[in-house]
Amino acid sequence: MRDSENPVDTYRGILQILKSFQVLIVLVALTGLAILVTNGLINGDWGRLSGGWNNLTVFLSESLPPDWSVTEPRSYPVCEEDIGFFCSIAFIGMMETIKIAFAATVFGFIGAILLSSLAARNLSPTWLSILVRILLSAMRSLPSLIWAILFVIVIGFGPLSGILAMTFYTIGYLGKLQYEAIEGMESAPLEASRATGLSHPEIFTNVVIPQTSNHLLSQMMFMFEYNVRHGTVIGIVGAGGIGYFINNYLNFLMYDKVFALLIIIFVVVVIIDLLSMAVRSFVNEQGDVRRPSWLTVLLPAKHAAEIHHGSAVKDESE
Amino acid sequence: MNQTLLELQGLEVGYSEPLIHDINLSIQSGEVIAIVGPSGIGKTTLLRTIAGLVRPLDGSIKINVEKRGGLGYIPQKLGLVRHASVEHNIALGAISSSKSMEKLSQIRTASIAVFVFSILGTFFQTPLSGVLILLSGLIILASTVLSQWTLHQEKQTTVWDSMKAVKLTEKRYEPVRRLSGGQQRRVATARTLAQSPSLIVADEFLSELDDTNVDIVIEAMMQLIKSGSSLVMVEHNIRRAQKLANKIWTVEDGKLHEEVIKDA
Repeated sequence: MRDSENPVDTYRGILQILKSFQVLIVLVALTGLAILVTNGLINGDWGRLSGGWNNLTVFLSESLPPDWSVTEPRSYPVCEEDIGFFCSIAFIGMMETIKIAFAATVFGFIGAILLSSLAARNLSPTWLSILVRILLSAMRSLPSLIWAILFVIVIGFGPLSGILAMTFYTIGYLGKLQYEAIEGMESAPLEASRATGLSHPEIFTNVVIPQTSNHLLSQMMFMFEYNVRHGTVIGIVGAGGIGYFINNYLNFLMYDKVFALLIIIFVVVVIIDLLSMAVRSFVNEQGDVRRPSWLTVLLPAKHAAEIHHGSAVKDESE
Repeated sequence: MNQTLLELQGLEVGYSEPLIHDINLSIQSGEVIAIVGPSGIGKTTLLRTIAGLVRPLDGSIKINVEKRGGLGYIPQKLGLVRHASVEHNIALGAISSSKSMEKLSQIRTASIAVFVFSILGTFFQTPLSGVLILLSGLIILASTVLSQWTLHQEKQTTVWDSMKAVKLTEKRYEPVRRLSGGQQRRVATARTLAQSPSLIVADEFLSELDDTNVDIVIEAMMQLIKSGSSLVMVEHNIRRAQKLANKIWTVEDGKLHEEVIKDA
């Protein structure tokens, strides 16, 4: 009798086949569930999607081409810079957003790193970790927009409200990412240092921070990027930045100018992402691998090889 | 005169189920103990229990070494900070053995607590909170600068000597992740040398090493043993265990048997 005719083996065979498709099955099931939930929320009125296409066409026709006059100097106050772009709405708004995001990310990072060392369960006792987690959850449960409204009420319009709002949200959000990264670190370095009798702050500064630096840096850069993007939103409620100008243009239905500002925000976000990649290469294995640089793409093959391999190729050719 | 560094009385080790029970043994200064036995029998759990990382299921452990820096632990996975330099990893051993670093660390922790409470105090408009913030902030800064300076001094002597003992001075600033497996084991050994503990607990620290690296690591470790430290290690190579150790602890059927090979 062949093994496959054995009913037990057939059952196992079916299970094996199902197991090999388990990711696909789970994805299909989740997608189905999501569609059902959406259907419930919109009361089965999927017809609204067809009307949406026409609205999108109207919006795009009013937005395109983008109006790049936002990169030209403002008529008032008079521009005293040699390059007019430095007096433009795009530059002034973006710089203010970047400054708000930078200050909030730095203050938030300091607060988050102190709290995450207390929230991580592999570093602190359970009671303390739960208390700090509740505090971080409370700070995170209000989006930066609501924090901004609160601070605008408390201390008035302007960038200071923006900085404080983003700092609070950054502590809550970054704190969670950081304690999860710390809890995910290898236990051996912690155990080795704990057994030798190092104190909590010594373990944190000398073992945890260097060991998780890749994650911490990437999260900080992500948070900076996030704060730059959200700087546009909190500007709408008067907390400073490029969002203030976007809100003004939206009120006057000047979608082409809004579109130009959105493109500028997109470019800044991409630059931050590239910067993050470069910074993290100092603390991960990526930096150890010497890979061709995109800078040499335009160079002739011989010169590119010289840059990649140093003088070794040169010596051989000689 | 030999001093009892470790005393195990009626010890039972394991996680939920006991793996080794009724251990009644002791370790004197200058002794080298090799624990042998098949895999999965509880050797690592015993070492982790001695190192204070796992609670014993029953019995007691008396460790007669200083709480800070008295015990050195080399885990199976070495426990190195992969993204930090060779020097930084070895300095971790020096930090735990430094008395001044311990005091500075305590001062800094106390100042951070005062700093945090003072900031909270400003919300409740407590008088003096501003002065306390300034003072504690200055103390944090001063103790950090001082501890960095102390660490720098330690690096000049202890860390450099330990690095030299395992022949890694050329790799001083290299991140550990870039080193070979053998070199990483030498870094872990140097970290223990810099710590200079009374009791060393090492889990398979000679495995995966070629003959040259084994010689370097053993020679470095023997310097510590000669100065009165004791070594408890898990070792799979019976011949090497018999050559190095004074006593061999064999795990068999959940019991630990001691065999004396030679005097310490």
